[in-house]
Amino acid sequence: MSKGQCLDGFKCKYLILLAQDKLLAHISELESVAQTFGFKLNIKQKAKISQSTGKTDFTKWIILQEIAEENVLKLMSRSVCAMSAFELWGSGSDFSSLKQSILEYPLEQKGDCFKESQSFAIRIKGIGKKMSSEIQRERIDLLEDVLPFQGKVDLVNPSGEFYLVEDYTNRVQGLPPKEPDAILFGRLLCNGQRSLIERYSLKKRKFIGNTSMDVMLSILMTNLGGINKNSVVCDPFVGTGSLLIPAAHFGGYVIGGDINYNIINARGRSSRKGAGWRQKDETIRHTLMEYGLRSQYLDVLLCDAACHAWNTNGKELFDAIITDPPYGIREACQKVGSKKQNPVVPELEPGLSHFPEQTEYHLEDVFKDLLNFAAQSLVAGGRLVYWLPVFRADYSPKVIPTHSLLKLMYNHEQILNSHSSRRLIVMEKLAKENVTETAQATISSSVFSGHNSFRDKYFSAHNGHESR
Amino acid sequence: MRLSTFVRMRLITHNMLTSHVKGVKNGYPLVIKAEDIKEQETDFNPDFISRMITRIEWPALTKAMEMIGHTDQLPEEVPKDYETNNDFLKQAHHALMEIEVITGSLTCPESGREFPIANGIPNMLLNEDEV
Repeated sequence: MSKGQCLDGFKCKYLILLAQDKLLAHISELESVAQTFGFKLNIKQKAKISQSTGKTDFTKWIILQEIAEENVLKLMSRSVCAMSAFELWGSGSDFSSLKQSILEYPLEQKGDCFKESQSFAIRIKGIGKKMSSEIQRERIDLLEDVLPFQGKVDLVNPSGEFYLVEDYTNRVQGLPPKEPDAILFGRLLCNGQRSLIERYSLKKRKFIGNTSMDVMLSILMTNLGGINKNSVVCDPFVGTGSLLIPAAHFGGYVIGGDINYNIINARGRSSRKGAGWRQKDETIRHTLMEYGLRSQYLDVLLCDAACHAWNTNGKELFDAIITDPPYGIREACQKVGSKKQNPVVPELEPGLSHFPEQTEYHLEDVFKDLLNFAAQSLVAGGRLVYWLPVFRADYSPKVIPTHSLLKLMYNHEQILNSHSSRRLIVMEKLAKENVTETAQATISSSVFSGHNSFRDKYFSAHNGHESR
Repeated sequence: MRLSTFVRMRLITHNMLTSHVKGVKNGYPLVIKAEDIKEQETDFNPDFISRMITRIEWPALTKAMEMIGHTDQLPEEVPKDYETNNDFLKQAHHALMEIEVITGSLTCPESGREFPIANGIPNMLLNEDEV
């Protein structure tokens, strides 16, 4: 039996250990990746009400059933929310039931693991509790009679790596419980993609901006966007291209637009402290080249999202739109325009370009334009993934922009501070036959009307004044 | 001053752009005036090109090639067997991905409004009196 193959007729279960992220987007991510690879995922996750805090606690692990092993590997080839995947050999609410379930796990399924030629390692992991070396040794001893390994122990590069996981997350009065809630044992299949976070770290990247997206979040957005090899991905507020890098990494072809001349042309001061002026190689194309992803770069343009130049007239261009529009806090919301009634553009000598005057771009319009753009330019089944800034006191589901051609898939809150958060919104384009052509984006609530609607509230709350 | 060697506009991009000047009905495709072109080899990915054939406007691509002086490099129509026709896909790949306009302009076919291309980046911003 080749290693890691579920025998015919046997239904393997898989344990997925999750990373600790407050966004709690792991199910959305795994569902989206599954859809990208063409299979369905049904995860039932138990939510517990914590005895000490009264808040809902989600488990730090999930079990996948009714799934082919190759599909588990596909999920892990993309996920940043999943840390590791294991073939589950046993589980129980206490140690003796765990041992019993390991014994009952079919011998044929355990395969060659116990052979003399196969080196092994057993790791002991506590979720919510540090397992001292003493406890670890004790557990390994207790498992000896159900795990008849004959091969050598190899802690560095074993043929088979096994984990005993004890879940102590159900805290009582702020302390881990005496006994674990659940104990699980499994054979490590593979890890997720969290190592990419270090590889693409912003600290090491030359070209960054004030609002370059955190690497983990940009990979998450790529996964939520259903991006795969050969996808065409657009960011209409591209900035330094931080959102497009994971898309390129996973085989997407990337294109972006921005209204900011300096950012697109590698001009102006660097966002990095003490770095002075931007250098000629601080462009998106060069960044992708440095990462070995040059082939994935299509183009960038100077383009106003309020009045874009994409040919969306009856043509579907993009598989995904991944973007982080400006909220008016660290980046101004601007579009081309003038405060004057009849602006006059000066005549320039040929060869000199005019830098158009910019004016307020109201947040309400930013999001309506974005949704209209997505509804026109995405292919059916394509996704729009973007952040929506929200003043928490104002939030209700009515605040989320809607469009009859776009279905809301996910909405995850990331709290920024006590009064504000931003929501990661994922929408999917419906097939055109089902909806009328003249659909337009709408926002039922008025929280985004008026210029600087978010910015004013944000800084008022920050300064402790009453919001206007 | 040495021209930046890092930025260009490809014909695949040109194929996706249109004139958004107020009141214009037929703003596609934009007329290309190319002063500086470079041919740069890139990895050939037949699956990607084959996918793009259904997304792009083929006549606009052949027109674009003519406008920059690369005539007779593409068939007038997409062949029926394009998905498996490697020779055709290679030609399409060369046109879409390997020809880059560094300096020039894109002109609205109806209003004549010019959008300059400098350092390979098309400037599609309208002026404040045009929006």
